[in-house]
Amino acid sequence: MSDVLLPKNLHEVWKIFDKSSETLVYAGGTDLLVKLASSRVPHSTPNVLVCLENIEELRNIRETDGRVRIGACVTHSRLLSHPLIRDNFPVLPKALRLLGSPPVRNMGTLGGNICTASPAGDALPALYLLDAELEISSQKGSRFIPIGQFIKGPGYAELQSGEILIAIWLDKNNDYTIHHFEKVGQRNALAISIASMAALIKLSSEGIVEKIRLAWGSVAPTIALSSEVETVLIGKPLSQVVLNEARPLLNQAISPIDDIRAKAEYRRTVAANLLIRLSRYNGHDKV
Amino acid sequence: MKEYAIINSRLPKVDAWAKVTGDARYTDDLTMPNMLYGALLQSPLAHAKIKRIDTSKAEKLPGVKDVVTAKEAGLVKYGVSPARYDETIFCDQKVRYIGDEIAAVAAVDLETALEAVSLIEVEYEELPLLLDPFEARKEGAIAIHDDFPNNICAEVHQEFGNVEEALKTCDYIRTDKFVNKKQDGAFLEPQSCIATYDLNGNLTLTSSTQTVHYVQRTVAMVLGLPIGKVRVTKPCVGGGFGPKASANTIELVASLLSMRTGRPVKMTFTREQVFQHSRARHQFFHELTTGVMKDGTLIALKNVCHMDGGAYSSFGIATVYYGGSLLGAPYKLPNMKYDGYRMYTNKPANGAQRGHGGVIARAAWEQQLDVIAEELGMDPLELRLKNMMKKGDVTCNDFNMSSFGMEECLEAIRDGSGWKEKKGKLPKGKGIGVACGFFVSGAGFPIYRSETFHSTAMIKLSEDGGTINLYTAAADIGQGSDTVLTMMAAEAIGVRYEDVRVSSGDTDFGVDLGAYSSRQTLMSGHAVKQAGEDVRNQVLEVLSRNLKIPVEDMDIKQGLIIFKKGKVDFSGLRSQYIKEHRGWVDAPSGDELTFKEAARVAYFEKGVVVGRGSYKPGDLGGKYKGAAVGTSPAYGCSAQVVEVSVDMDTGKITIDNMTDAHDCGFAINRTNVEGQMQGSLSMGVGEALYEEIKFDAKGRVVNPTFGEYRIPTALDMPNVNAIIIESNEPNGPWGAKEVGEGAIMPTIPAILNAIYDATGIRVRELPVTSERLFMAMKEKNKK
Ligand SMILES: Cc1cc2nc3c(=O)[nH]c(=O)nc-3n(C[C@H](O)[C@H](O)[C@H](O)COP(=O)(O)OP(=O)(O)OC[C@H]3O[C@@H](n4cnc5c(N)ncnc54)[C@H](O)[C@@H]3O)c2cc1C
Repeated sequence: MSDVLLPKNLHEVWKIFDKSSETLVYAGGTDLLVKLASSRVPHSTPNVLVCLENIEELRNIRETDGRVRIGACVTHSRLLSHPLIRDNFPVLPKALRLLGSPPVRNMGTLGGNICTASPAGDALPALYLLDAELEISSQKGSRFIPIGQFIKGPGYAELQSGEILIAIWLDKNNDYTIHHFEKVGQRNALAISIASMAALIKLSSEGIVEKIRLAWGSVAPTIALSSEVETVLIGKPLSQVVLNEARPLLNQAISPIDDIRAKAEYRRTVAANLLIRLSRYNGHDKV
Repeated sequence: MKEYAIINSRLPKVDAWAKVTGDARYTDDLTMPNMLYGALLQSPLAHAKIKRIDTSKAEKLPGVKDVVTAKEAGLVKYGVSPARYDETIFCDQKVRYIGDEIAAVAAVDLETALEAVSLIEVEYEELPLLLDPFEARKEGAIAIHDDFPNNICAEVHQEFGNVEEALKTCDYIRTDKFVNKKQDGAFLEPQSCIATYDLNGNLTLTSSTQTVHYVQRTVAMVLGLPIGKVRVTKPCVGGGFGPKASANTIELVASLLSMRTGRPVKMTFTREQVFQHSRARHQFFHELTTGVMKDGTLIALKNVCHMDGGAYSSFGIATVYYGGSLLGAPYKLPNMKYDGYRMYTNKPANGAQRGHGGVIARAAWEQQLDVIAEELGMDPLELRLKNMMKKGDVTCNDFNMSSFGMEECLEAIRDGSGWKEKKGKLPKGKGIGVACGFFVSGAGFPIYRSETFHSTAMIKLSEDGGTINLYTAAADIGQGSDTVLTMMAAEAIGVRYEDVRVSSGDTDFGVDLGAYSSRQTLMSGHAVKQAGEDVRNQVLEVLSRNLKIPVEDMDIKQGLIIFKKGKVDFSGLRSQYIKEHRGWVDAPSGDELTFKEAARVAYFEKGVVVGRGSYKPGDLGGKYKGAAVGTSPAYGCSAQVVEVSVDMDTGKITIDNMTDAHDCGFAINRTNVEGQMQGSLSMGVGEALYEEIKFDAKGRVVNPTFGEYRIPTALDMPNVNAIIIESNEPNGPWGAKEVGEGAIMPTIPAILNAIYDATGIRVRELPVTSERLFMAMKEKNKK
């Protein structure tokens, strides 16, 4: 059994870190507590669990200088109903709507989804495309790091001991006209992604791709990006023919594995099919 | 149809308020003064010899009150069917699956008990693993149980008619194979119990069970107690679906620990332990050969079935029979042959689950019938109508369809789903499918050979006459038997629903075999109806003497005495009642004599007014070996149409519509009947599309959570058009028969047939995950 501490501000967090060596922080606990509960041996738990969800600074969403700052402990439900998020970053709520179930979204936080660093984290593809920047703090001070550099591998984030994630920063000025997220899971709720794809697209009035950003979940050790696929689509319509041409390039960008939920081959094909489905946005194409 | 005051309505469940407010108490919510907590040591290996057990460290841990192994528990064998008692409380010489029980601890709290368990040392010698039932059968395979050298736990060979000869006459014959995966019951409440052994040697076991009666018998036998000293009772139970229909390890262990420590002991399974204990749907491998005539007439069926039984027999003897006996009907089929084999493997034991033994056979056959219809150029719904049994028909294996609204079911779903407008006319990616099924309305025989009554009931009037106490040992496990039996008692007596107070699920209240084989509405219902009529007659007889009015000239309705021949002066009774109850709020008033006043008169004469009811099915026919499994006083039946959409890019299947018609004989509570239909359908959707227990190479369950063992969520279920068909069963109370399990029968094959209609793919392996369907479509496109 371990103690659970509920600090009210960062100062108290740093004091806890000073005093105890074996600490684990958590926010909603929807990842961490499940992991702890499943190792049934009483000794393997840490001495101190530090719950961050009462720290005001980590719980608010605010705007400064054209950037939106989301506290690390803001829940998915809050994000889904917040006008700043809904109006400026529709791709994020599109993804969060498919994360877990209402109770999980009421407890789970954006910071938790990032720090868990799962390739299946449903918020992550959108955050990669939005060039999320992470504010990391320790007693010594703060640093900023792009999400793509922070997440190193499955379950592995670039977090030093004594550091916590404070906030996620997003740039407001994007002019994408299409915000897209699709997830393939094994049922319609409470299903971890087998493959997912987020897209931000700007089409010209003729339906030609002017800007495009794409990210895939669950098909590589971390979120998969492919500037090659993006490049080949620029200047072209979103037709099935064009999108099919990009398929081999995508194949190089992903490296899915077999696991308990699906086989690599299925993930690979579906990841490509999700791309090709973007043709639904192609108003001018006759294919 | 006859008008009823209470039954055939939509009254709210008796426990509705407690359930929706969260006030309902389940076993793990309960505590007792001075209670200890028990924990199990279970095998980490699937097949091994136990060389040594050392409990000394555990015993020394502060807070530990008792540590038990086979040495303390003894080696009395138990199980479900007396023909295959193959379990002991703890393993003695060897362990047979990951989770097999080796020892247990009772301690002052759960943490201490778990820590003590981790201090018990066991030395194992690993044995070769048998995870595949076909490997287990092979010559030279190591025996999992010494008494069964080829690991065949049970085999069944039956033939009705002459299949080989009949096949020779058929115009068209085809053979198909079909396989499912091992299931979990996926009830929300894990098994839990509290055992309390008192100073007079009485054991009270409070448990999350479907059958207090069988648990009572097993606990008494294994622990060497007189049956009368063992009382088993259940509080609210959060579902069972089969796996809770027999005694489990913790019931025995908690009882043992309580007897030894003299303190109450609670034990509760974790979700992982629920998966390990299992006793749910087997994995079946069916090979079906069906022969028909050109016009679609069914002639013969050959059914070969292999079942992965897991490490123990559990319900498996019944399952291996049901795997054969639940085919044939609902169609007229003159020739049927069945060869069933149940193998032991080093996996959690499989047992019974909703639609016991028949669900996978049904899925396989109804899909095959769809193929046959297509080959013959017939509409699959017409093929079924053509072969359908009718009321009074008897199957080749002697099941008597004393009522059978199958044709009405088929017509109802055909018209209710728009079948004629849709079949063959849907765009690619959309499909529609149909299937049928039937099921027993209570097993005709108890699990052990016995002349016992299957259900008894007792109704006792309160001294003031205002409350009618119904006592039954029937188990409401969420399905609503308390509600249905309360309604029946009120109807039989003629009182209001709210005047009846039900006490149930307790061996002290009588004998009831419990909630399994869809038996309680019919069987417990008969007993309750009889007890209610007994009370009604007793009250009317006393009243008759008192008022000098013949019994035939009186009736009881909505809690009031009806005098058929006009007004009667009962002012003497009324003023006496009011005088005796001065100061109470519920004095009788109005122009009519109330039941309460009449019951009070009966009390004056008799002191105790008790109505009695008991039921056992009569002689049900079927003299061949195994006839006991499948014969029933009545059979429910159902038909379903399912519509699906398939996403061709991902293989994802969406169930768009389900139209289900079920013949329950007579709906005592219409909402409850629909609830059972919807619950069955959602369970069928899960088994068809998602559910599969997965094992690693060592025999460990790798998905023992509801995160990775997926049942449908609200977002996966469409609205269900549930159509109730009432065929008035002569052997049921007020014509009622089953709905609890039969409704699941058509679901899986109707989905499979719809998937075929949408994609052209016949999937013969469950579950049809998006991936499985997608890869099959990909394979087909290659060709
Ligand atoms: C039933 C269920 C269904 C789920 N379904 C989905 C799904 O569909 N999609 C999906 O993406 N996820 C899903 N999840 C996972 C989980 O809900 C999400 O990842 C959620 O966002 C985690 O947030 P949390 O606040 O609960 O994390 P926590 O469990 O509190 O923390 C997760 C990890 O992050 C660390 N951490 C948390 N906050 C901080 C911080 N501020 N600084 C440093 N480290 C921190 C913790 O130490 C821990 O290692 C599901 C979980 C459950 C239980």
